[in-house]
Amino acid sequence: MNTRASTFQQEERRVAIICSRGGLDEIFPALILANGARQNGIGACIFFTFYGLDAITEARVDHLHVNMVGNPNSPIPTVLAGLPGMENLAALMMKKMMEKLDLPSVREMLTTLDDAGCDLYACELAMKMFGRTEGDLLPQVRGVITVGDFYDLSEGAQIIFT
Amino acid sequence: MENTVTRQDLDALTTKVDHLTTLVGELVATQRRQSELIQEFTPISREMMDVAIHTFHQAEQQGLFRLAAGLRDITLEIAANYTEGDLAQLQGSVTSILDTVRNLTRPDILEILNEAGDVLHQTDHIQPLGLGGMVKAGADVDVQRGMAVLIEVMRHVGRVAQHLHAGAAPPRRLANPSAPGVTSPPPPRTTRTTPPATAPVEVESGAWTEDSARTLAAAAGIPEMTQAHWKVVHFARQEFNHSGVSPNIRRITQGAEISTRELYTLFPKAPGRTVARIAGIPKPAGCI
Repeated sequence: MNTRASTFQQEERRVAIICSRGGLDEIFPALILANGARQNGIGACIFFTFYGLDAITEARVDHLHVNMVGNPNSPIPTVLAGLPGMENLAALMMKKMMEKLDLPSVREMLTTLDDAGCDLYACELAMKMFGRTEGDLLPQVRGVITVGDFYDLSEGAQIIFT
Repeated sequence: MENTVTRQDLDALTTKVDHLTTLVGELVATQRRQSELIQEFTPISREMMDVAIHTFHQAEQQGLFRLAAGLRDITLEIAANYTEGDLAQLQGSVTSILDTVRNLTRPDILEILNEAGDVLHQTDHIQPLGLGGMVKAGADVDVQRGMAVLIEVMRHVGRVAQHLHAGAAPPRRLANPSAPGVTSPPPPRTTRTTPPATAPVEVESGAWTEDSARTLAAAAGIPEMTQAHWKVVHFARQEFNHSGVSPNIRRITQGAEISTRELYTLFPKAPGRTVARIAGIPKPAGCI
């Protein structure tokens, strides 16, 4: 587990972000909110729960997809998007576009966030549900905490749910 | 002239003759001993020569001389083509190479390899399988077992290959690309019309001085500007003058060759904005 000293409680203004979704397009808002906060001198922490846990799981972080099926914003009609292999294709295209625009991958964003002083936490309930252990998580994660712990550490901070 | 030979002369002569006789006697004895020695030794040495000739003849029959010449050629070839470094490396890995050879030549493994080799010898007996043939073969227990073995082999190879690959090259985009060709080019700049939230001191390079920067730094909560601080500030100014856009944190970590963590340590609160303020350039826009 990450044992870097935390500056979260010392900041004047703080945001505590909850990331509960696991799609590539659903994780990025949480990461960018946290990074933007740090860039503006605002304390930030992210609580990854439910499918958001995939973003901080070593085995899953490089294999996140965007849901194309039943997604009103999807450029591919659902009847085609459901075919085998389409989701992988869509993920590949998105990855290429991100590389072209020089957008960082989720793994890179998490490293940057930890370097910038953002605290990353995993939800204990979600860990139990998915049967994961601390060893399965990325090294940047500070710990596995319950919702009660989260409320304690986010006291006085603005909570953002994504 | 006196012709008398005295008795003393005769005595002296006699003594000399006696002496000579003794010497001759010793010489003869030595000569005899030597000839005895040669006589004894001759058959032995002859037999030794016989044995030596026979052995060399046998060796040549067995091709040992040809082998020695071949080995000498190989050694010369190795000496010509490999450096000391290569040999030292080989030396270091000899034990693990021998271990691997030992593992691979255990009797049961040898048997598997021999079995596989035998099949490859007899490929003319093997007919092409159609779809039906494949299904039938899939029902054979031996085939299933063979496939399971091959899949296990693939799994192990894949596992090791993953680690090898992970150790090979450092990830592309982390903070410090050293070679100039390695840095990915900056994303295309779009002209922005958002006004800066804090008015920059002076954007023209003529009006900004290091002293003014120090004052601004003190106001921003940086009491002392070290070498590392200046490196970042100079880079930011350079970047703005060159491309017209203030660098964001990501750009600063790439261009000034400093890690994100170090940047947040040097400029604790809002580094992108603080650096821009100290450098007298507009604050960076952008979300990443």
